[in-house]
Amino acid sequence: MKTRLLALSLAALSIGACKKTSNNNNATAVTSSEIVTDFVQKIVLPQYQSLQDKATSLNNAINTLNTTPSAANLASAQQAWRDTRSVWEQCEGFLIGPVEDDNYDPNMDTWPVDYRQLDSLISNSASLNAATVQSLGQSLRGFHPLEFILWGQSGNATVDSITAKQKQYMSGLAQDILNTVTALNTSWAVSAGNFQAVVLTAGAGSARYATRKDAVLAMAGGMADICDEVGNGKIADPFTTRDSTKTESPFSHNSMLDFINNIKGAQNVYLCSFSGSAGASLSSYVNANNISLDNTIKTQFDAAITALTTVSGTFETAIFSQRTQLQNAMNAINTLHATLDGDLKTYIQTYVKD
Amino acid sequence: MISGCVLLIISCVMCRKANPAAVDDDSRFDPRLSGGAATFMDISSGSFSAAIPGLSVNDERIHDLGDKIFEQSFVAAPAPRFGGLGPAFNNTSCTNCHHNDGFGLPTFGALGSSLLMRISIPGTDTHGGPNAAPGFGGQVQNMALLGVQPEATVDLSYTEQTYSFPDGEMASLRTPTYALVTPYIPLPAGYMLSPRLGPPVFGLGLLENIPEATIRSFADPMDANGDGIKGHTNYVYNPYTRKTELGRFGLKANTSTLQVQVATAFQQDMGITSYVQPRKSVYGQSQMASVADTTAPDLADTSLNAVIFYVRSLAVPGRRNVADPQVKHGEQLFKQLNCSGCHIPTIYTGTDVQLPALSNQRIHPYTDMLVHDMGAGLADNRPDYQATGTEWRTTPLWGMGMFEQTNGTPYFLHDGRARTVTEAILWHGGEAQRSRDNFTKLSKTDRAALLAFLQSL
Repeated sequence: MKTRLLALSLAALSIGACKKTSNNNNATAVTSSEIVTDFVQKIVLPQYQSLQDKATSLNNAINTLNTTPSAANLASAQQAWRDTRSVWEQCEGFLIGPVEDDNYDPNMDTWPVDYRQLDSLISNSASLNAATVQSLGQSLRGFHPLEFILWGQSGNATVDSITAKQKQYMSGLAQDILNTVTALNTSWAVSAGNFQAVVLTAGAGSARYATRKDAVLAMAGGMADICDEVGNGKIADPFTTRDSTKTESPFSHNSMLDFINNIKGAQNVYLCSFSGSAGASLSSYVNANNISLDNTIKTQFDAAITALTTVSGTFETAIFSQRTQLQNAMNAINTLHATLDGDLKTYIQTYVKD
Repeated sequence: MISGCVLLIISCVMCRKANPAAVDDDSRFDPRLSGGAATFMDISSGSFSAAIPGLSVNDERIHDLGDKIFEQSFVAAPAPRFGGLGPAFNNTSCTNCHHNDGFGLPTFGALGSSLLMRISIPGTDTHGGPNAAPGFGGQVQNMALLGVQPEATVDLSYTEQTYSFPDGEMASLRTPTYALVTPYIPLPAGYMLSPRLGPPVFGLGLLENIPEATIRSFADPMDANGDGIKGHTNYVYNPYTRKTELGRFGLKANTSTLQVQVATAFQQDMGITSYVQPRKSVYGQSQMASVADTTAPDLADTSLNAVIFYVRSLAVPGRRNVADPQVKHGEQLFKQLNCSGCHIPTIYTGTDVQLPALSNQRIHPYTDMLVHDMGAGLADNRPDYQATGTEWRTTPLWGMGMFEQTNGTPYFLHDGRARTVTEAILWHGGEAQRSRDNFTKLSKTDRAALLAFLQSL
């Protein structure tokens, strides 16, 4: 697998070398304005909408599970959790704007779960709903406490093991996640927070992005940051200390998929492609002047994702039993991060003039 | 060899003192380098989050470790990881108050809230510091674990007041009012409150490394030069060294070292104990009978040291648009209005043999590290060591142009009451009254130039 990829990248490099002199002004070249616009229109807005749709389904699935407890409904609630998670982890490829400014990220995705307070919450008589959940600490909100109940601490939850109080808590958690995600989605909407205008007016009056270059750099920064977090944090911390209690989604064993979706999220931004719809991409923009760099980045994205998929077991066991594969994955992700943080940013600094 | 070097350094310093104009000639330096070698050129939400250059591999690892703990949410003990939160606290992680290593929201009691309330009663403690309020300590922990009552919650309301510039332009100033509600026991008589917005945490290693003599040289408590500015030092007690030392950090310069600053923030803001602050913030309170006097610290020594090193080694964002004529004009106005009388543009740090990027750097923090009377409008009327109830430490202005990047919405002043730089300037009183008044008399063009300069920092 690896050899084939290497050969491909070599071929791509040589093509790049040939084309470079004659193809600086190709007809399909995209402008910086187009890539910023399509980043908003084709990447951010559809993905946040998709996230809201999935969170709605999750909320419905939890309510169905609560009203009609059955093994099938538990399984579909677990699947709805995974589906929401999958879109969210891809949205982490562009952690810029309100998601960061207004703490939407930590409010729904903080670990570790606060077991002790979770126990007192469950044993306490006070009723739980979205409003009470919203007032709790971050370690008692969001995906991971919900995961804790849906799967159980040892991953062996059944319909019968979920208590009435836990159901109430789940319902509050799912609604709270939906509220957070909805607020995040509307923060970009023209009708509400309208952060899209802040990005779209980059270099033309935006308070945040004095030049369009700043906005494009923010896109690149978002891509680089998530690679750094996966390569040097999410994988490296449990891996280095050989400690499976430090992993992000330990109850559902969803961590490997989380990592892959994180990298895919960054890849979506680079290729300006999400769910079959594509637009003017950073990739095309790079390709206009540096085909070699464009091909390198594409290849490194593929290599990182491929390296992650070679880990066959759960992440919690892989840190003990598949250390070579994990090390390779971290290497591939760190290589990608170095390119995004280095050459790509340099390219943007050089070529985005407005 | 080594002594030769030292001699050389000493002689340089002496030259500098004898003829500062020659050495301080700005044209000989790149004005973008706000932190000297410890400057980071980047315009993004991570502008405050870069490590200083030249860290060894080991130091880099410690910086990264501190970074992770800084971002970590803490939970109730006993927990397999990151336990020790509370029982009463102000927030659950460093980053919730210091968002992107900047500040947080000027609100109380939510997870993104960055305001906290200090409390004391008249008189001083044995070290000359604020007299802790019985049952509350020196700080109101307005959040608590489930089943525990917070010490009190804080109500914050604003009254808006319009200000008109002589040329007709309007600004709106909001005056905050604070009230403690639902205290777990009755509040003591004559209690005094002081709100504090968590400040940005970059560049602190440089500020810690400014020689004490330099800071003392800025002081002019008798206003011998007649410019209306009477800045003075604050000497404060260090609970770790058990000595009285020059206060540098905190909005009233009431903390002498980053070690104590970080450890006290862990202890007071999150309830997390360490080798520097080994006692729970709620120890001795009537509802906390089960909290022991001494238990093993919640935070491992290495973890605390890593966070201290993290804030010590955060670089300063570089300036932008320094060649812009409007910005240059604004810089001249900044000096003409004598804003630079307290917000001192250029300072040299001392020697640090471990971290070269902090050592002997020419930096532009725009602070004199002294406390000044800022007038009745900003007063908290709560003395803190030698800082009186109207005095505040000069806030470093470096990086203030990046707040939109790091925080989305910028807020200014000790409690975040100012929503724009103009509002923040208008709030200046006391020793800054003259500069503030002259600012209001500037033409619109000149005011815009001054703001453009501040935005370039």
